[in-house]
Order: sequence, then C-alpha cells, then structure tokens
Amino acid sequence: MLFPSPPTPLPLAGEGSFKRRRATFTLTPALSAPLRFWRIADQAGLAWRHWDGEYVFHHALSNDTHRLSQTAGVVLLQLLEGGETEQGALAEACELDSEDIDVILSALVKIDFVAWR
Amino acid sequence: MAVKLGKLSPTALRRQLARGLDLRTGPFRFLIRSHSPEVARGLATLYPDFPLPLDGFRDFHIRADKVSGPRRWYRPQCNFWFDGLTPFKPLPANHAFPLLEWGMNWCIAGHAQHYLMLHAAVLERHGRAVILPGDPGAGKSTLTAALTLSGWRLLSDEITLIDRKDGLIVPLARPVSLKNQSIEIIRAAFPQAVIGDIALDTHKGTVAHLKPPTNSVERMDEKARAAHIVFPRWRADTVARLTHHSKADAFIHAATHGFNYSLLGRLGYELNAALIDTCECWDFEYSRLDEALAVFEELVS
Repeated sequence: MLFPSPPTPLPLAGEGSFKRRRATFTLTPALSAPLRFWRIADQAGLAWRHWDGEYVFHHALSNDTHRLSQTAGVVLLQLLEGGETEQGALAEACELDSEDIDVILSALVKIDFVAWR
Repeated sequence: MAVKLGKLSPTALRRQLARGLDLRTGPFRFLIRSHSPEVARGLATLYPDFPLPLDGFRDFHIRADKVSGPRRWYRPQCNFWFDGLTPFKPLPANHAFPLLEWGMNWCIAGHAQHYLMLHAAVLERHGRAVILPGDPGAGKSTLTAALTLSGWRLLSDEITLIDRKDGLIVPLARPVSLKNQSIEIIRAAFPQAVIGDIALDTHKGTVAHLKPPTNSVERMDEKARAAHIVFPRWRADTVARLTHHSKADAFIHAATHGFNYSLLGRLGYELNAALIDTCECWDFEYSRLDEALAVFEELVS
C-alpha cells in the first residue's frame, strides 16, 4: 500500500543561495526550476480499478499491487491519458498545488510508476 | 456411476485404504493410502457422501500412516506423504486424520494454480455465494459451520477457488475444521451435527471436523456466482450488524491472503478485481449465532 510520504521538495536549482548573494535580484520559482516532464514509467503496464474514492493499481513489470489515494490515482490517470506532461501543467490539470504534486510524484517515482526527464 | 464412500463396510474401507482409495472432492481426485484406524474412522464419518471414481487420472497421490522405526511403538507418530515425500514433521499417531485434512489442503493450495485461490470460506444460498475471509480467531469457521447446518450450501471452508475462465466459484465441499470452543458451541447449537474425533493439543489447539451436508457434496460440480464478501469478527455482547467495508481494502485483503495471487500476475489482479467489482463488501460483527444467521438470511434474500 502506498501512503503519502512526508513532503520531499524537488530541488529548485540555485534559488536559495542565489537570493542570499544578490538580494536585489530574485528568480521566481517558475523561472528558476528546471522543467520536468513526467510520464508513466516504461514497461509499467499499469492496470487500475477505482472504488469509492480509492484506486488499486497493478504494475505489470514488478507484479506489485498498490492501493492509492484518489489524488494519486488522478495524477496517474492524467499521465495515462495525456502522455508525457510538464509538471506545472500536470498540477494544473489535476487541480493540485505545487507542493502536493511534488509529494505525489516523489512517492510514485519510488515505486517505479512514473519517470521524468 | 461412482460408488459413494459410505457404501463401503468398515472392513472394505480399511482394505481399500491399504491399497489406495480413490476419492473425489470438487475438481480434485486424491488417491489416499493409509493403515491408520483414525483415518478410516474419519473418512467413514465425514466423507460418506463422496464419490469413489473407478478409474482415470488422480491429481494427488497421498498417504497418512504411522512412521516406521521405534516411533511406531514408543509414543507412536504419524506422517503425511505426498508422492513419496514428507513435507511435514511427524505428529502423534492419533492426529492422523487432521494431518490428512491439512495435507489435502496443502496439496490443493500448493498445486492448483489453474484457479485463483483465496484463503476464505464460501457458502451459497438462493444462488448467491458469500465469501468469508477471516483472520485466525475471527469466528469464520464457527460461522461457516452454523450456516452449513442451517441450509446453506457449503462450497469450501478453507480455500475459495475462482475459475480463471469465467470468474465463478468452484465448489470444494470438504469437512469444516472446528477449533477449540467452537466445537462445543456448534455441538450445543446444532445437536444433529456430525462431528468427527477430537484431536487434542495440535498446533492449532483442539481440532475436530464437521461433516459437510449431503446436498453440498452432491452439488460439488455446480459453480456459484459471488455476491458478497463478508469479513466476520466475533465480539462478546455485540448485536449482529453489517457495515460497509472499503472495496479497495477488500481487494488488498483478498490479495494478501490469496494462496497464488502473486503467482498469477496480471491474471490474478484481473480475477480479483472482477470479483470485487461484482461483490458488496461488508464488515460483520456478531456474538450470537442465531442473530448472525438471521442477518445472513436477509443478506441473500
């Protein structure tokens, strides 16, 4: 079973130290964060069922079964239907804020459901 | 037409057991060899309605007998042989019949990979099967025995077989294993119940087996469609009641307690998912058998 792990922010390259050295010039996260494009992991061969607000996914390659929250299921379905998607656009499509999508994608990466470039 | 085991005289049964008794339980055929009087008595008491096929392929060649050597005489022991191998440690000789039952379950659970096998009891009434998964001590066997003795068709006490071709439940009517207090509870509530010898101090405690109803054995080729999955829990002084159980959780529970869910890979997932799709899932708490029976009757009416 997969439960959301504590937030593990994805690195926003250079933002913190750059701001300290040059207080007059601050990059916004949208500009400083590298664009990440997410997709369903190769050969994952996901199958899924949805019952009463919960998802049960099967990963064909690992033969693992995971019970996922409604939110994690929606992210996976978005990737299954929409193909490779930039993280910001994915968050918007799933109506999630940037912190929530970070947490979910980090957890899904750990179980080899999704991959990024 | 196959002869029924109950038609054999005690002498004929012992003689047949010494040579090899061909017994069919649901889709499986066992060739059982034994010289143990406990095994002969257990089979005569609990399997009289089972057919003895005359020829054909046997799925499992098994033997339950006393061990040789000094332990044949000093604190005698028995063991279980499967194709000449002994997968278990020996037990006291008077545990030969429970050992045979556990050995038969082991044969099926370890080899019948052409079914999805769940660790659950399953019964049917009015054409609707109810699956009862249950952790040890949850009261599953007591409830199964009570339902069996109240007109429900017993499909299986331990192993729910799901046919991979059509998703239906394949009957495996065998004796119901009763443990500890449940033996006396069932005896008191159903004086007509036929219960075999009591085996004391087994690794499961005190164990005895309940004879499956004749009707359940006669209908052992008749598959059933699952309608409900009920997770029973005995709790003192509770009014019997059903509450909804999460389907996702029922799926995970069934998969975790499946004998071969992982082995079947995607097929196991799809069969389990199809089962959950078609079933209502419930938690069930009870303390009194009469109340429990009334709730179950309403569930399938």
